[in-house]
This record gives sequence, structure tokens and C-alpha cells, in this order.
Amino acid sequence: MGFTTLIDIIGSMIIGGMVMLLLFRLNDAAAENVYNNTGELIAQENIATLVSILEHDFRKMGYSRNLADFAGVTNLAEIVTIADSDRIRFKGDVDENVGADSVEYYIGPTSEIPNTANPRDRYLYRVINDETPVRVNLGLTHFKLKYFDGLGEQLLPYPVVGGIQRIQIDIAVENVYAYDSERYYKDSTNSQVFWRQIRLSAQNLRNR
Amino acid sequence: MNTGQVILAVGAMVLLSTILLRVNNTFLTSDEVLDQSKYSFLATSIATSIIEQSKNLSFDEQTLGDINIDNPSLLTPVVGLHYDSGEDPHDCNTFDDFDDFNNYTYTDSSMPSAVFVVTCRVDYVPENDPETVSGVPTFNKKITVTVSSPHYMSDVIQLSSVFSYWYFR
Repeated sequence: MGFTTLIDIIGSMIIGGMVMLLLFRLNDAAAENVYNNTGELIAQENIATLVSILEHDFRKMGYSRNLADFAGVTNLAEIVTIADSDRIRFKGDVDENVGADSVEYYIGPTSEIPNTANPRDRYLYRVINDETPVRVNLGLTHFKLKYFDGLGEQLLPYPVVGGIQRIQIDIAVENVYAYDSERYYKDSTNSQVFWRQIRLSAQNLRNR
Repeated sequence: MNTGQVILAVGAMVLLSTILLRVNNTFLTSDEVLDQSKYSFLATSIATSIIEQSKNLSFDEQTLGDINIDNPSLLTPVVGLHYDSGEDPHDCNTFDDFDDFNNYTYTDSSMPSAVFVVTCRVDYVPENDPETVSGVPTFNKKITVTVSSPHYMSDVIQLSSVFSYWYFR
């Protein structure tokens, strides 16, 4: 075996090694892509679920099949009884039985979910009347409520008492388990799915 | 290395490069689809918010102050479906009735991702055919909200909702 042949073999091994490294990197990138895209798809499905639940309940604000529940109510403070930046309690018949229910939403601290890769996810709590709070982890990282009066002016400070005509709900859901999570979660916008909704408070109480 | 081996090596590199480009294209396409669905999701939230805001107002300028109207000819004529005097056409917070949203356009740059352009249209619609625009006033108005984002979304989101006049006696 001559020197030239040896160089050929060494050269081909180096090139072959580089191609192998390339393929390993490609495989890693494909796995990361599939993993994170699936996670993001789940996050989008989760926020759609969350929004449908919130919309269902918020639509019922100030509504009851029992007319006597809201008869003579003109002060919206009687409908929205707690109006904080991350907590709201209102009256509405959400379960379609006879009588208005008390509905409350709030979020828990991040320390409640230490086992997921995402350091920002929190539980969303839903409380109907005096029942035990029901909590769900759908990757919620942001739940912010803003309240506005009839002229579109934001009502401050929190907690807001009375005069609420509109409620702006900002929610963001993130991928709970991302590939290479330490790097991934450094940028919160990487996987965030955002929803901003303006709902009316007690639209059933007014003539049109 | 003879010529045949060189051709084989070059062919292998071309094949590998083609595969790499194809895989890269697939990654970018799936990322783009996910981003598009994110923007569409946000655009839908903007459109539903506009519809909610519009429904917070009176049905018509003539029904402001809980005035009871039982004849549609007393409502604002079709040509008058737009913002009224004293209202800012670029600020929906100055609107006082539903049809003030007709031709209302604004740019929403408050979202954490894309910039959206919102356009609204309000028409009278017949009670039995809400897809058709009525040439005369009726007790039903339809708002159509179109949300687009020229630099981010390849398509537009369009949502409609019918608002009808009602009065508790």
C-alpha cells in the first residue's frame, strides 16, 4: 500500500466522519423540531380549550334563567364582585340550572408546579359557588385582567370596585416540556401562544 | 483517485446536499405553519373583541336612551350607517351605537407578535336571510370584521355577527 493510498483512506475517513457528524446533527435537529412543534401544537390546543371554557363562563355574566336573580340590578358591582388583575369573581348561571352561580377564576403561583420543565407555568383555578376549587395545568403562564368603563378608560387601581363595562382578558400558554428546555425557556416568546379577548360585563342587563 | 471516483464523490455530495436542503425546507415549513396558526388565533381574538365591543352599544342612533322603536323605517337610513358627528372615526371608544363601526379601520400593534389591520363593515340584513345585504332598514344589523396582517399572515380572518334590536317592556 503506497503513501498515496494511505492519504486517500485517511482523507475518506475524515470526510466520512464529517458526513456522519452531519447526519447525527440532522437527526438531532429533526428530533428537536418534531418535539417542539408537537409541544407547540399541544399548547395551541390547550389555549383553545382554555378560551372556550372562559368564553362559556364569561358570556353568562349577569345572566340567569331565574329573572328574579338580577331584577332591579343596575350597579354592575353586584355582578362582578371581585375584580383584581389576576382574579375575578362574578355572578352568572353557568350550569343552566335555576339560579345564578358565583364563578371565580384565579391563578396559582409558579411554585405549585415545580416538576415541569417550564419554570413559568401555573395552575388556573375555577371555583363555582362554594365547591372545591378545580385546577388545571394547561401550560398557562400569563393570566391578566383589565377592566374598562363605558368610555373605554381603564379602571385602576386594583382591585376595581364597580363601573366595569368591559373586561380584557390576556392569556398566554406555553409548551410545558420543550426539547433542550434550559435553552428553550430563556426566551419566553419561543413557544408562547397568546390570546387577548374583550368581553362585556352583564350585556343581558341592558336594553338595546 | 480516478475520474470515476471523483464523479461518484461529487454525486454523493450533491445527493446529500439535496437531502439536507429538503429537510431544512420541511423544518421551516412546519415552523411557518405553526406561526401562521398563532397569528390566526390572535386575529380571531381581535375580531371577536371588536364584535363584543360593538354589541356593548345601542342598536341604533335612534334607540339611544332606551327609546322604544317598533317601525324599522324610523331607524338610521342605509346611507347613514357610519360614525356620527362628534365621534372620532379612528377611536371606537367615542362610538355610541352599533353601526358607527361601519368602515372603521385601525392598526393594532399592541399584540406581542404581529401587527394587525382591522376593518369593519356594518349592513342591515333581512331577518330570514342574513347573508344578503338589505337596501332598507331592518331590525337586524350584521357586522363583518376583517383582520389581516400583510407581513405575517398569508390569509385574512373574517368574522361576522348579527345584532338584532330588542326591548324589554
